[in-house]
Amino acid sequence: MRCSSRARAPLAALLALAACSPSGEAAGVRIGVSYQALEFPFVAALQRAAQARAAALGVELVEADAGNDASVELGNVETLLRRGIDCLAFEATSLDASAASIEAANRAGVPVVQFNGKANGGRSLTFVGSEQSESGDLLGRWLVSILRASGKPSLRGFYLRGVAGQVTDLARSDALRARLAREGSSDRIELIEQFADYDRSRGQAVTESLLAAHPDVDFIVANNDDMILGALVAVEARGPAGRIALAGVDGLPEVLARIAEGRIAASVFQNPEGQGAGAIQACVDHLSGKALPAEILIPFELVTRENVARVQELARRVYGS
Amino acid sequence: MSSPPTSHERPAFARRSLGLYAALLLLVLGFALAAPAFRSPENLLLVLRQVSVNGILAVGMTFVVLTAGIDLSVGSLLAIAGLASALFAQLEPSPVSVALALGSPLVIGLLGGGLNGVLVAFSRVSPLIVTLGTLTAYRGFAVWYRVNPVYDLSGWYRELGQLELGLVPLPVLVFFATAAAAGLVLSRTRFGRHVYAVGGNEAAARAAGIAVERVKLAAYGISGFCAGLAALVLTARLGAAQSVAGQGFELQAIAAVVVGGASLFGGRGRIRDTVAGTLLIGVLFNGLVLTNVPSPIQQMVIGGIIIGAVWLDGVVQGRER
Repeated sequence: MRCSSRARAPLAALLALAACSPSGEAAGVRIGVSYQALEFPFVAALQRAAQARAAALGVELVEADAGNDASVELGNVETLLRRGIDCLAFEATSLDASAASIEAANRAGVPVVQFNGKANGGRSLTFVGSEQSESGDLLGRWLVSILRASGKPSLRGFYLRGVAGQVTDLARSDALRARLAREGSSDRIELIEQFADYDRSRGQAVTESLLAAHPDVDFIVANNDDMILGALVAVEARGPAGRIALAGVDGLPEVLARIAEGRIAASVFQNPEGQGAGAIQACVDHLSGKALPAEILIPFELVTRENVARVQELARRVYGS
Repeated sequence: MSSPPTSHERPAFARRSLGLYAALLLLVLGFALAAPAFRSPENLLLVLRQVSVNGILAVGMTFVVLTAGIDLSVGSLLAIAGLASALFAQLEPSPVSVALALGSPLVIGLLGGGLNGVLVAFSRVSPLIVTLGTLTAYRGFAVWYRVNPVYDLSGWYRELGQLELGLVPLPVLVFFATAAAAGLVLSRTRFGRHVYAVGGNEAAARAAGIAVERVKLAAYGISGFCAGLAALVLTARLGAAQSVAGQGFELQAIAAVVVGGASLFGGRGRIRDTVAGTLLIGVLFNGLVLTNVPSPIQQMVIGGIIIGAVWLDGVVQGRER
């Protein structure tokens, strides 16, 4: 799950239902999809991938946007169930509060496939998504690699965290630190931490203030790409980028472009196509009688200048313009 | 034209303001002692640059609050205005595209604010409800219009965000110019006097022949215009626009106005105190980051300051409340 659980007005999460018209010969199968919050480009990319796969398989989608609010999510799912769906593809907004939606589908006898964000509770066929700790682990590996490449005894930098207490943020941070410890680099890589709410302008402001106190840092890592893009503006306002190595998580097209230009060093790519299309595929597979594994994991991938061209191609396809 | 506020408010104003400025001074001195990096002139300019967006929003918000209203929609309106500005700033620089990049956010702000004003003035729905509605609707429009960030803006536009005239960054100049203009309008024009009158006692203002509806419409229009101006500053500073930009900015702006001592019941408040309130919050944020205070603690401190400021207000005002 990439997106933060940022505070927002409850009304901001109005029910938004949209149905794609059925096409192709397998029409008759109707899959309900509940998204976490379509205002996030990553989730919009999930949706695009899900719609493309549904069109290819000729199944009908009925979609709903939870707007990051678990109570809206439950209302949406109840509406979907009343309309009659054969399978629910479900992207949870919350680790615990989303269980109510899954249980509602269980009671209605509708099979559930979870994707991207996973909730505890209820019964689901499978989870199509990524292990969030893996992204933190890859960031940790990247830090160890730049330490080794630098030849210095130790490195110092900023770690921009997302929202305090949010699940994804904790998973990434814990895994990053665990990787540093495993490589024996914990005391050779000093992290100065601040939360920047997964937000670009906040990432910029926090980095500006931190740079005033520590102008000579070696790196900045962030728990998402928006924050590292804000940090990039702050760094470049003081001089050309490059002296400070920057890395984020998501692999948004904008960051991939900066990696290709050599202004950002790395990002951990999270694949929306694998997750969005995979969820629809899992539903269809189940309905046609195939057994599903308990988890269908879509791996993260560290993107640097070496492999950025290939990932950019994939990102262009799923994010659109 | 001079416009003394109702005479019995004068002394309380002066005393209250002294408390505010003393608190600001103490805070600056405290951080200067605690963090050497805070003391640098460079960092003080940074604080000004960081508060410029919130400061511009708070200046507009002051007009609305003086009429006993509230404008919750400024963050969402800022997102729309920023997207429009950035889309024009992507074009090949020409007189037309430059004019549109600079002008469109202001026009959009004025229109969005004007719609708020019409609804508040003529529908008799409370400002809280109207702008809660437009907060949601404007955000929805921004996401519907463009879910992916807009970046790769023309060089001239990004340079504008980093431009310094003499030593002073352009965003800071825009903020101070806006505040100065607003201060003059409120203290030296008939319209300014009418704003205070409408907020102080709407029935009396109406009886005195003031066009209450027109004054309200103008106040919301000004707040929207300021949101457009803030969008321009934010987008130029970040070099990118996003439909999720500005979430929660309305609350920061209201906080600055309230810390500045304006009454949410209308009729009382001054631009210079709003500016001081903005600075106080900005100094807190910058100083707490520099002294490496974790973000959750920062939130508690800033929340406490908001309540404390209003409490202090009540104590100083004493029997007038």
